[in-house]
Amino acid sequence: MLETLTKNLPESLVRVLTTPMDPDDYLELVNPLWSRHEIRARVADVVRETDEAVTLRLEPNRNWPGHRAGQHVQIGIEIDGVRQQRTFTVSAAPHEPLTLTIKRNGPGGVSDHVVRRLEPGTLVWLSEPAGEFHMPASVPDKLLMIAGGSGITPIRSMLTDLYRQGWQGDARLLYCNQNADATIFRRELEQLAADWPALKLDQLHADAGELLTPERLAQTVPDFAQRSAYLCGPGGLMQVVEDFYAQQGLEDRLHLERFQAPERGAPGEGGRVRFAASGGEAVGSGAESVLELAESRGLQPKHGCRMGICHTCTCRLESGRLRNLHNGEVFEAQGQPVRICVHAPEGEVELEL
Amino acid sequence: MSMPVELTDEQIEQLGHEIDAIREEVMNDLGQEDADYIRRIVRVQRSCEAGGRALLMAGILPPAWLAGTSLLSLSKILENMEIGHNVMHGQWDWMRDPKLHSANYEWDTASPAEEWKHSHNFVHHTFTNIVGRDRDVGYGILRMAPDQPWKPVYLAQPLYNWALAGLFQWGVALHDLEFERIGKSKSLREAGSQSLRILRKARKQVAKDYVVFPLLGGPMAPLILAGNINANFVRNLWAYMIIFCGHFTEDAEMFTEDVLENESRGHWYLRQILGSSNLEGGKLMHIMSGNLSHQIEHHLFPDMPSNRYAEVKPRIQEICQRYGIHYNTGRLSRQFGTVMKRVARLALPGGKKGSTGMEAAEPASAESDQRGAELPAAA
Repeated sequence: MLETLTKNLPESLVRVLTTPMDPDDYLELVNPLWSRHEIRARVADVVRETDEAVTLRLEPNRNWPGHRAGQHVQIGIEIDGVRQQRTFTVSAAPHEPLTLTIKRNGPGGVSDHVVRRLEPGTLVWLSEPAGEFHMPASVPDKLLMIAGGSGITPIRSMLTDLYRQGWQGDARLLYCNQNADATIFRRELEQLAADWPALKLDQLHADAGELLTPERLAQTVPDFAQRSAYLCGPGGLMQVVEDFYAQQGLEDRLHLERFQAPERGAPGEGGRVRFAASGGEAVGSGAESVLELAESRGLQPKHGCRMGICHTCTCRLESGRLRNLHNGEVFEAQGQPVRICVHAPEGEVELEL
Repeated sequence: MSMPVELTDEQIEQLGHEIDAIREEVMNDLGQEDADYIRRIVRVQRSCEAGGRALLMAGILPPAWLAGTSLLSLSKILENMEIGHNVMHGQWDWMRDPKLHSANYEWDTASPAEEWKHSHNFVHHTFTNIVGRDRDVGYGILRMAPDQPWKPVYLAQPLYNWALAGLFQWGVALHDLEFERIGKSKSLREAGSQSLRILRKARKQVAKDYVVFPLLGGPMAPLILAGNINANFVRNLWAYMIIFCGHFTEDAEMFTEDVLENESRGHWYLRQILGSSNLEGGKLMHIMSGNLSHQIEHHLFPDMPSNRYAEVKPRIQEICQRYGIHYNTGRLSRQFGTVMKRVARLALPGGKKGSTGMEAAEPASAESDQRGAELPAAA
C-alpha cells in the first residue's frame, strides 16, 4: 500500500521529502522488495536438477516486466558482501513462475555459490530481460532445437511456451549431455515429448560415445535443411554445428545463443584500452595505469591524488578486465565504476571515457 | 624533507612497507560481516530519521518533540559521518552496491557530494596539513598554523569560530568554492557554475527541513521547524568538534610545501600520522564520530571501511612506538581543550614557523611519553 501510494504520488513531491535520498531507501525499511523502479526478487525456492545444477524460483516485485521465451536476464547476487552480476537465461516460459536454471561452472565462481550455497529467502537484483534468441512472431512450422548441457534453458522455455499455445508444428530436439544423470530437465522433457505429438526428443550421451557430429546430425534429422534451427550449448558443440551449417550454406536458418566468454591473454601483459566516449584507444604494456594511457592519447580525465586514495578518477568500466597496480589482483567488473589511476588494462578493455 | 622525527629515508621507506602490509591484509579480508555492518548502520539511521520526523508531527507533547528532534539529530550525525563521509571516500565501493558507491552517493547536508569529494578526498587527504595546500587548515578564515601570516581579524577567531561551529554545514558548502582562488587559478565562470550547484543542493535541503516538513504538520509547523533547526544545529556542533579534533589539537603538526618534494609513500604516511589526532572512547563514540575518532587510521587508509579502524589502531600504535613517532590520542574533552587553546594562541601574532605554534604554551609537548623508543635499524 505504501509502495502503491508513493508510486502514484508525483515524483517531485516524494523527492522533496526524501532528498537527497531516494524514496526507495525508506520503502525498503518496510519490505526489502519494495522499490519504485528497481527489479528485485526473493529466491523462493532452490530446486536441485542434477548434482551440478539447480533451478531458482524467484518472486520478483511488480517492476518485473515479464520476458519472452528464450531471453536472458542479469542477476545481481551478493556473495561475501560483494554484488556479483551474471547473465542467465530464464528457464521458465512466460506464463510460469520466474525461474533461472544454473549449472555449476567450476569451483569458486558465482555459479558455484548458487549451486552449493544459495539459500531460499535471499534477495537478488534483476535487469530487464533481454536477448534476440526467441521465436519470431509467426512460429515456423518445422523446428530443430539443438541443446548441450545448461544450453537447454532457453529451449526449455521456448518449447514449454509453444506447448501451452497449442502449437501443432513439427519440432525435433537434439539434447546432448554427458549421461542421463547429468541431464537437466530430463524427466520433464521426456514427459513433454510423450504428451505432445509435435515434439520428438533425441538424447545423446557423450559417456556412451554419442557425440554430435555432422554425420550424426544429418542421420538423426535428415530434413534438417527444411527446419529453422535454434542452437545453445558449450563452445565445442556450437562450433561443430555452426561449421556444418556454414558448409551447407544454411547460416541464415541457424539461430544461436552463446554463453561462453571470449578468450583471454596471459596476466600482467597489459592490453588495449578503448575509450568509448572519446573514440580513441591506447595499448599498454601492463605497467601504465589506464589514466596514464588516456593522457598519452591526449585525453584529460578528471583525477586527483594519482595514488588510489581520493577516487576522483573513478569512471565506468564498460567491458574487460583490469589489474590493480598495487596488489596485482585481476578482476572483471562489467559496468562498474573503477579508479583508473591504479589499474592497468588486462587484455581488451573498454571504458566510458 | 624536514619532519619532527629523526628517521632516515630508509627507515621511512620501511615504515611505508609495514603500513602497506596492514592495508593489504585488511582489504583482502573484507566480506559479508563488513557489508552487514554498513547496512545495519544505514537501517538504524533511516529508521531514526523516519521515527524522528514522525514524532515531531506530534511535537505539541514536549516528550515527543524532544524525542523527535533527538532522533533526527542522531540520524543526521550518523548519515553525515559514519555513512556519507565514509561512503564518499569509496570505503564501500568494493561491495559494488550502487547505493553505497562513492560515485553515486549524495549526503544530507548543504555541500554537494561532487564539490565536497574534490576539496576533501583530493585536496585535504592528499595535502594534509600543508599550509597553503590543504585548505582545511583554518578553512580560509582561521589561523591554525604559525606559517599562516597573521591578520588583525584573527584576533576575533576565538569568537567567530563558534559561528562556524553552529553553521558548520554552510561553512563546509561555501568552503568548496575556494574564494581565495576565484579570479586567480579559478575562473569566475567556473566559480559561477559551482555556486549554482551549491545553491541548487542547498535549496533542496532548506525546502525539506524548513518548509515542506513543517507545512505538512499544519498547526504543528513552528514546532517541527524548531525541531529541524535544532537537529541541524546539533549535527553542526558535533561535526565541528570531531573534525577540529582531527587536525587542530596542540600536538598535530603542520607542514610547509617543501615536504612535497620527492615525497615517498612512506613520507606521506608519516605526514598523515603526525598531522592527525585521535579520540579515545567506547564503541558508540566511534560510530557517532563516523570513526573519525580514528583520524590517524582514517588518514593512513582513507578508503578502508571505517568499522576496521579499531582493529588496525593497536598495530599502528605499535609501529609508531617502534619508530619513535608521536601517536596523538586522548579523550574528547582533553583534545578539544587543546584545540581551543590553539585557536586562542594563534589569534595572536607569532608562533615559531614550521611548528605547531604551541611550544610556548606547553613546552613538554615535544617530548611525548610515546617517543624515545629505540629506532629500528634501517632496512
